[in-house]
Amino acid sequence: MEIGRIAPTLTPKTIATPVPAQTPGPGFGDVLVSAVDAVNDKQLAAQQAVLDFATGKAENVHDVMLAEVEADISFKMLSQTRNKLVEAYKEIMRMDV
Amino acid sequence: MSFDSVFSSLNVSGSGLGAEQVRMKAIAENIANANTTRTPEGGPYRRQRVIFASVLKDTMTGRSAAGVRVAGVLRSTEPPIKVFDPDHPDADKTGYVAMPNVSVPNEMIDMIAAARSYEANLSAIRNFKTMVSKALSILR
Repeated sequence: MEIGRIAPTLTPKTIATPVPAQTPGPGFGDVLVSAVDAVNDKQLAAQQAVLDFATGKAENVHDVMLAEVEADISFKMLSQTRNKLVEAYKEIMRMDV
Repeated sequence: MSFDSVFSSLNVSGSGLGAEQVRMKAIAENIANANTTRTPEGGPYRRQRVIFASVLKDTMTGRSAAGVRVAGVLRSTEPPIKVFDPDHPDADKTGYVAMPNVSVPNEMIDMIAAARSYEANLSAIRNFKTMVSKALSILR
């Protein structure tokens, strides 16, 4: 009885090692900062829209409201990301070393 | 980083709101001038019509919708309505007055249509907000 036949099919295939990227992209911190800046821009735009509306410069109401909605949604996006980050940080701090 | 692509559908609905507002203004002007017999151009007031055109934006993946814009406000070419009123200062020799070609009932119907279209754009915005809020709650 020959049982050696089965062995070759079980040899694991060599996994190609991933080639690291030559030029590193922007770091996590940079991405976060630019996202926060974008959210801040939306907040400032909404503030300006309300100011224009109050001083009679705005042409219509819905543009003011849309600026508010954009600021609101982008801020919610930021706060959700922040909550998740803090949660992950706490998770790591709770880890037994 | 910018959120422009995230809010693109919001801007499309916003342009719809603006367009309906222009249409509403034209209808209001038609109703206000339903009995106007004197205009700077001479003759009776002529009904205004708003023409809409779709806006396309060039993007990386081809052309995509970017909303609606008002292509122009045109004057109706329908002839004025002749009303027999010899006492009217603007009556011609035969006693007929050229009145604006505005039909107030038709304008009221157009006004309802404009208001409903405005509401449709508003509910598109409301649904977009709900969709995004639901997506954000994935992280929760």
